[in-house]
Amino acid sequence: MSTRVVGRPHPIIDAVEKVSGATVFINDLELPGALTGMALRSPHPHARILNLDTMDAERLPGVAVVLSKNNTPDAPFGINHKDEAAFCREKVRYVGDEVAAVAAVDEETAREALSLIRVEYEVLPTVADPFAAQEPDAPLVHDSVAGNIANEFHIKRGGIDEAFHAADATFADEFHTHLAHQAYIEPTGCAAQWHPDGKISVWGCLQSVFLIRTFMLGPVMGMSADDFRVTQTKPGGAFGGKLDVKAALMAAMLSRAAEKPVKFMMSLEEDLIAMRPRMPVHISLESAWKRDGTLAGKRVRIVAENGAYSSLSPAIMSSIALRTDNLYKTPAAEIQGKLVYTNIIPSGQMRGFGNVQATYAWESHLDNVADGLGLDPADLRLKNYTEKGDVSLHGWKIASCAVADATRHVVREMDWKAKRARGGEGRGVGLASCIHVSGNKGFSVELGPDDTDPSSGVVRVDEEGKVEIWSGESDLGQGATSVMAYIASEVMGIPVDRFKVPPTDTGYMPFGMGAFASRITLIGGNAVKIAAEDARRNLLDAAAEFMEIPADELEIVEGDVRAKALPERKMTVGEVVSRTGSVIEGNGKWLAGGDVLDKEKYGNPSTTYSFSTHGAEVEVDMETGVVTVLQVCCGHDPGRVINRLGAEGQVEGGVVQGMSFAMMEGLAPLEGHLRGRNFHDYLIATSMDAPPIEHDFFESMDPYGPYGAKGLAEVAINPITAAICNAVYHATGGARIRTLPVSPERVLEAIEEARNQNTS
Amino acid sequence: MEFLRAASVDEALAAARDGAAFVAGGTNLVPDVLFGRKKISRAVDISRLDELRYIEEADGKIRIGALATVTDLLDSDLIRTAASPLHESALEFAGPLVRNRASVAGNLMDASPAADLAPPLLAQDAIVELVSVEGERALPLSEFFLDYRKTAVRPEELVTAIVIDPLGAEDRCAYYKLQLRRAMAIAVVGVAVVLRMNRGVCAEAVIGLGAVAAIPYRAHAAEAHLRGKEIGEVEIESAAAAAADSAQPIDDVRASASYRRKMCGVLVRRMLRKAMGMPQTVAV
Repeated sequence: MSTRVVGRPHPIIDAVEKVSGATVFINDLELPGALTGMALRSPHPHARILNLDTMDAERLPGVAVVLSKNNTPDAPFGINHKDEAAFCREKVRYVGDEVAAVAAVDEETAREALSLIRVEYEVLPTVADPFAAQEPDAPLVHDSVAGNIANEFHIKRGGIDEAFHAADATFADEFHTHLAHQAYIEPTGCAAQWHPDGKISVWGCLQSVFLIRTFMLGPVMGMSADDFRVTQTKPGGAFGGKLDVKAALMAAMLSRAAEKPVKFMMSLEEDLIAMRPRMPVHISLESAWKRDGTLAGKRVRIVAENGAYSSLSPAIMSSIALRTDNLYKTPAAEIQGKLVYTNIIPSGQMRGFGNVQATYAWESHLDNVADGLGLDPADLRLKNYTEKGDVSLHGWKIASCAVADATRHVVREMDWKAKRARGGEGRGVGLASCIHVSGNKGFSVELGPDDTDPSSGVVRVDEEGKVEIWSGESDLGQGATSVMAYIASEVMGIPVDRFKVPPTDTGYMPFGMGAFASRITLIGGNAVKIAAEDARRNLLDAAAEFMEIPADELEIVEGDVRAKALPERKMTVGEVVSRTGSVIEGNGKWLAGGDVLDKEKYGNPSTTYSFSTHGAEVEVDMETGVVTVLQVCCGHDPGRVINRLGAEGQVEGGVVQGMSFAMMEGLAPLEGHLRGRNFHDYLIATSMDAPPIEHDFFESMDPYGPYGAKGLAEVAINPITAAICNAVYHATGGARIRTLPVSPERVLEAIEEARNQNTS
Repeated sequence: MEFLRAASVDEALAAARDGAAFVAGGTNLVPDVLFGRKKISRAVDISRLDELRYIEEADGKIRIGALATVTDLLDSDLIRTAASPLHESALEFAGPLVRNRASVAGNLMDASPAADLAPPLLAQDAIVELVSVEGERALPLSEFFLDYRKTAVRPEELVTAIVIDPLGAEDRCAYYKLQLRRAMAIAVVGVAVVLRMNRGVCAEAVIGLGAVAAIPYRAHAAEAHLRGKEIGEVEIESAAAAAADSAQPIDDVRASASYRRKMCGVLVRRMLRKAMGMPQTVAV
């Protein structure tokens, strides 16, 4: 289908506002008379609170309120386990845990008040290692949770033992990923304003304005979700980290207690030590193969580091465990997962939701397998990829799939065959692929109103012919608002520059689950598309009456309603709306496809799935271990590109962010204390580090997607870590990076290990 | 904290007293104070003392005013041609915004073991000129750093200039900073070598090392393997081994002590080979 807007390159719709500095971020938000909120955080990884005295802090002039366990109810909350409290009660469980919070007239007073809070701790042994944590005599992070096991499962499918028995070859590997932060540039902050009617307004860079009311604010504060009006401020970066934002709770609780507006802005250091960074995981893999490179089965054992509190961690572990089995035709699998509490910052979700870790491990393993079977790694993948129409071992229904095209593109563009023929002398190439959901039904049950994973939209056209789109889905910087504008523009025949998509606001906008699981383009996009179609119909119906031409003989072109047969007979959209004396609206709602998984984690969690392949060429300094990524080449299957410029931005951003995670990032915990507490110890890639990125899109035209589109955000980051590790393996003649990050020191160790193996 | 802007060196010196700190670019001091790592009772702003901002050649020496910025080093033809390791270290120093503010003296006064400018300045026999109300004195840079973040500068003293010996046509040199990203990164290891050559013989060898001990220092034992010699494979291997032996690095978030020690040897060897125009043993 030919399109006017969809697929073409446009700047994101708020680009000018952003680059000219007009955008109001949370830190710019001014509430008259607002107090400064600040938290007292635990200095210990694990300690019992023997005594907590806030009297002196409360007496300090300028202090409005001090909150702690002493004056707040015991209302535990948590998405999977109710294991977290607003303020620590009997124990602190990680460095950064909220012990108390103050609201004061200014930052200086607030800081002084924190220093006046006296806490007597009995320091307890730190549970830092997830394996030691499972020992029978290990100290317990939560006294009621035996063995520190937050969650575990064991699934067997498809005759796994027989598969290993009958295999021509089997391979085993272990991989370990590190604790890394989302490293958005905007530290987290929220503002809240208590109103005399008892309701509370909340502002912040939040990925889901609707859900934070139901899983955190409402239950902890003993209020109903409707008592909160939550408004998103423009995002200064989120990458998954701004879904469960405790700062919103802090601001709201302080504001209610003080009966005044409160701004609770975290410092960068607080953000690094007390938000929810990407989950570290330890993955053991075994796989069984036929001689010709056909996958026969795999065994996966996972130990995932939960940290002090659980939040979404069980779902992340599940994603790590199952995801890659659906990328390849996998006849049998056995999967065991253990999620372990430790006294480290609670881990959480970041772009990829576990798939970055899972893809790193499995796709690294695949190159070891290819090596062992004497096959080309690209050929091995092409032989086993899933295809359109497949139902995977776990019940995933593949509605569209162009991963093989993406891989062939990488092979062609990188001059793969010629470069693979070399290698071993400090230069090499590697590639990796991934599959990702576009929305996940599981969240709808855990977080949402029901099991439908719904989204809705309203499209409003005013008398100037300008269009506003209200969607409950947040833009977290990925360009969601632009995608919605382009879809609606395409439907309505109204130019993109007349569209405005205000930040989500529960006060007047329709419901949306929020920005996670790469769900917005597919689910939010469909809702907006339906709303735009409705608005278009209403526009044409109104125009039909004014123009005395039947609606089906009218069309909208460039913002004009005109007769198809007689284009000079026209009214502008603005004139049509103006003559109705109101606005013209359209409403849309879309419910995601797929199933809620059963107890054995079987089912089709998403309407459809996206794919990508990343290739990397690296140079390795064999004496220092320094790796330089010379170029990255990728192919992505996002179903259909809505905005080419935005899609290219997603890909380039995903690749660089993934490369940064792979090569230099890390909170570097040491006995429960994080060492990456600022941006000179916690490194993220700069433009100087970014390699040239060549890429293209392979549009599988998804049957469920708006104009065929699926999610792109996460397939853009998942494979790059493994692609780099596989390139290092090729470049060095066998240095396999089993523990991230790919630091020079780690690479050098791997080179030496490979050298020892080759000579022994 | 009290803030005072000095209009002259004399005024700055008069304002200096216990607990006072001179502020030039402030790229180290301001964050240190902001994040509570340093407490100062009085900040004496010397950033407007333009008489301390210059780079010039005088009496066969290069004089770098204390307030010359890292960008000034990059802009100077004199530094590029007659102090190229220093030029190269300036290229690797932080990023353009920091380079525009950070002063050469400030980088030394911060006394970080990883101070980027220290190895190349050590390698060109830098002398630090100091002044106080008591008078002037000069101190070789090799005696300037006493211990971790501790210098020989007295509380009331102000660095006015750094003086180095320019490189001659025959002299050989090289610089390398091992870092974990391409900009805005603290050195894992910094190496600068200067070989003063006389008819093919190394008359003087100086090796400045950073981030492999509590202070930036000269690898005297390594230098001894080169001085007075015609430099070949044997001399370079011995010097590299001696440099690695001399290192007393620590484990930190960037690298382990053992990696740093090993890299110290690797990089000294490489820089010596590079300086001598010899091919590297491993493709670099």
